[in-house]
Amino acid sequence: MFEEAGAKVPTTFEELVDTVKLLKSKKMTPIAIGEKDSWTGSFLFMNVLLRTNGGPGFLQDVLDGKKTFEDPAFTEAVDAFQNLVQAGAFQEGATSFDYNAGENLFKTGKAAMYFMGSWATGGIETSTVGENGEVGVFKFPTVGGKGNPDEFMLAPGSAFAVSKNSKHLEETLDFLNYFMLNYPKEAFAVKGAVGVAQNIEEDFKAAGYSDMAMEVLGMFKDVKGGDLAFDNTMNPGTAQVHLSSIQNLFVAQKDSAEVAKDHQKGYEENKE
Amino acid sequence: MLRVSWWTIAAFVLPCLLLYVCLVFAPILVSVYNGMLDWNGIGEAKFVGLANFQKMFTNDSLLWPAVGRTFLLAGFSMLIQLPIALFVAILISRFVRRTGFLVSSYFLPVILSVAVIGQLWKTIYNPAPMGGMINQILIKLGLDSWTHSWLTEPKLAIYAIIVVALWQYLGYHILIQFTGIQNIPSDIYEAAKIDGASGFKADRYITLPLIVPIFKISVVLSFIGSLQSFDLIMVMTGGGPANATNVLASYMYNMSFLSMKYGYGSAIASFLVVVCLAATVVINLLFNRLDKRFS
Repeated sequence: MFEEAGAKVPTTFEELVDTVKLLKSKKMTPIAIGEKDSWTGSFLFMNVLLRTNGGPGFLQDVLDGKKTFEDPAFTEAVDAFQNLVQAGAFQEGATSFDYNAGENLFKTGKAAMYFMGSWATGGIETSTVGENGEVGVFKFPTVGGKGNPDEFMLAPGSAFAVSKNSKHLEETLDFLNYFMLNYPKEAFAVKGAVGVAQNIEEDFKAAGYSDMAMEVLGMFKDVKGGDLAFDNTMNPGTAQVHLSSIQNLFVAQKDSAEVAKDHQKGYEENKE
Repeated sequence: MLRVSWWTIAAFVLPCLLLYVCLVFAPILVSVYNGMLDWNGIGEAKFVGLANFQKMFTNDSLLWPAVGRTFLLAGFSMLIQLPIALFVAILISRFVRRTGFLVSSYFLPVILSVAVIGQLWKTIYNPAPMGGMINQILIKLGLDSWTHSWLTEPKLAIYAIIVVALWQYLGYHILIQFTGIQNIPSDIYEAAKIDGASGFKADRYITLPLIVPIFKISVVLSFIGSLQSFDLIMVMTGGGPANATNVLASYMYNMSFLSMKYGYGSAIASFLVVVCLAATVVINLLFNRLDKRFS
């Protein structure tokens, strides 16, 4: 779709907004998103914040009391995000598309870009657009010249907890060991090993991984750090205030100072 | 009169009563108790007395709009859905020979699963590029400016959902009213015809007064049902965007399970129970007065 519109891959956020406007003028949907599941919009917003904050750790600073949500890094991120929304980046009625519907929009070639974690690789590469080799991957750009494109949003997949009082402690730990050793092997065999935490020394390309998967794998080598999503860091009460607030930005414009104040108020009310 | 011993009465009533108390009454009491806790559902609970209820009534900016929307939905159900149902039922009973097919087709939406209805109406309400029927028709008629994003504009979304809710249960109420009308003996109508009243005039003086008890059933079902409305909202918008379509039940769900404030959510649930009980009492009073006037 980029070729059709004559657009080039953006390296800065401002270029991204320009690309969005270009695609919009050619009647294409620039970015697909499943905002009925409000974490999707939040994920994108947090990546903008990762840039405007000059690096990870903004939420941790808020939790430690060093910063508040009214810090300029946050309001800048809100402004940039609203810029994107108001430029018409997302499909009409984005807040009624759930995660699957939003992803399908991209997979059926109806949207030019899609922001998601590496777990979506498998689904995309086997879809219509993926099979025809029409999908490329690029890193999230810098915002206002700030931020490092090698810092990503991190979404750790699985966590395991073993009960100390378990009657079968030995067996459980044995099993976990077996699982951890064999999971990468099995995942590799079924082409699901993009983003696996363990080091895999096999040759991915020779095993038949798609070009798109190879691009994503390449990015993993560049990762220099990153941050977790808002709802993985803050307690549920605060997270809900944030998710609602971001979802609201998709349907109505709001002054970034107001948004910051809402966040701060929500955070203080829900502090334990 | 047959003398029935207390033991026999007890034997017949007790099992069901016990079941009712255990499955309905007891959980309501537990909910009210939970409403007095500061609890996230899995961790430790702190007893806070009436603090949740106090917060609910004085410090919650999202609760009262949700209550307003709940009553909006209930009001529309009563004032629009029921008169239409009654009117259609009257027409069917007067003009249609084989009523089975028609009544069954009206009833079809009632048995559709809410998930199916949600998907169905989303394809109607979707924006035009996504294949939404309404917007596409409006554009074809040249009425571009009337197109809206029906489910995502904060002011319109709740009305879009109300339309679906009315559509879903229309057949249910048509069936109830229709049965009620069928039960009115036809000799009354014949007597009225001799006196010169037929058609809609007969309806005004015969059908309407005699259908009041049946109409009351519809009113209670529709009003209480819409006060508790939950599944349709969750499927179509999840209460969003940004709480614009939250009703009491969906707000309670989001509070209890998404914000993990189980205690506060239980307080809201208790409030909902009280509202439904109060509504039932009011409706009963109103209808008792109507009954006295007409009998």
